[in-house]
Amino acid sequence: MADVLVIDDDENIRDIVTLRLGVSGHTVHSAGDGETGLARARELKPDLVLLDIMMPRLNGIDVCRQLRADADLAEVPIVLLTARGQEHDVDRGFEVGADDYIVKPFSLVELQSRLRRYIGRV
Amino acid sequence: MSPISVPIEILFWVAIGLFSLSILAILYTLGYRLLDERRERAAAPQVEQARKHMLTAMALGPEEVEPLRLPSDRRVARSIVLSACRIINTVTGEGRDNLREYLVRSRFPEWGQERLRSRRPFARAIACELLGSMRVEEAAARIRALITDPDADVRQAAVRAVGRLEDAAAAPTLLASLHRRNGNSPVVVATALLAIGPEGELALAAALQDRDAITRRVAAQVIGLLNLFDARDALVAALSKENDPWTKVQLIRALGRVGGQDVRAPLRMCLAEGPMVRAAAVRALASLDDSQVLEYLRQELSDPSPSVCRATAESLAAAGPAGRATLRDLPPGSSAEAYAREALARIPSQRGPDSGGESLS
Repeated sequence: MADVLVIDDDENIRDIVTLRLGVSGHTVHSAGDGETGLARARELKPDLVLLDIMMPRLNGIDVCRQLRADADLAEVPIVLLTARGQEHDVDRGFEVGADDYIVKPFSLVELQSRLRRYIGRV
Repeated sequence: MSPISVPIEILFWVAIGLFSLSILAILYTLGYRLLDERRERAAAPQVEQARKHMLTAMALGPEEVEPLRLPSDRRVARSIVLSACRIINTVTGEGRDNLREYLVRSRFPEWGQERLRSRRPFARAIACELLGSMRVEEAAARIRALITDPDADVRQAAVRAVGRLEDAAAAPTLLASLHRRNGNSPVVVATALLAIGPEGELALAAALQDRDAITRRVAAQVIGLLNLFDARDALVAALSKENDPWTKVQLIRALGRVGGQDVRAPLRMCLAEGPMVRAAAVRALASLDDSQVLEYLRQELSDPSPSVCRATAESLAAAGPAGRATLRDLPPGSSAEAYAREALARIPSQRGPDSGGESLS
């Protein structure tokens, strides 16, 4: 079972992902902004990071860039969460090393199947 | 007592009275706000517990938690309903269906239907949000009627709700609401029409033939905002019949946004119209990303109207290296030289700080 870090300023998204992945036996950690998320990632060294792009203090693109620059976290799969209509941000995300993206609002089944590629059976 | 002392005394007491009233008003406002905050703090655990229930129902299934009972306290009930609206719109598919079923079990639709008739605008707006987010089709007719509500927040919530309900019957009302006094925002209406789907787009195309010029104008504006490629033929047909210059400008702008090679000819015909229409046609032609339009634009640089000349110079400057070369090659002393210089000088700010400026040779 995997350690997943959810970085999103929307409390509802954090909680629903925690609940859904939690019942599958994964340990889900969360952070409500980019700076805290980055600190948590460095502390926890998760198996996967689910990262919102639009966030206060430090946006998802900058978090992604800094995660990739960290030798310990350079290989951690990063899945971006982006709002509908802002998919162009995803290109910037891929440029700085993101692995995949999911458009909000998303289906929980799709979220699980997408994450399964990176952390085995979710 | 001197004759002047009486009015001064009166003025003094009036001033004291007004001062006291102001103090009382401030104290009342502060007291009300404190009370409000206390009530909100007291309600917070109840709202948070309801939120947790809703999230659990969404993630794990509606039967996993006991149905909610909306409290009689209006404020707490509204906070819970607003929380439900936010949560239900965070996911799609199975999660949304789970929460919808849970809210139905918790009798939220009944609560919403009742509030649609409330005298309080805030309650009507929340009811629209809830019923739209939950896709309660039985409420569609009542929500449709609120598109023209006297309150702006209610109107906006109703427009969003008919979009979420994909209520095709609301399309004509949505369009009509655009040109009323205190009407709805074209962007909000455009989003709702897009959500409604093909019927919304058909209603827009039909509105281009409406007898009312403002309806035609707004329909063209919304088609442009939505960038509806399929409405291209309807726009071209409307442009050929249109007599109102302001509506023509909106049709031209919409064609420029929608694009496609077959819009070049109708736009070019507009270069023979009045200056306002010509200027709009120049900008629309320039936005087509079509090398052939550069020739028409070059000709417009000698247009007698300053506004058309300026529009042409700006369009050429924004049209890439070929357009900018045309401006740089203008013969000295030509009538468009000043506009060309101005347009080229603006290029750095349009292309970013590192791109460097351009000027006439």
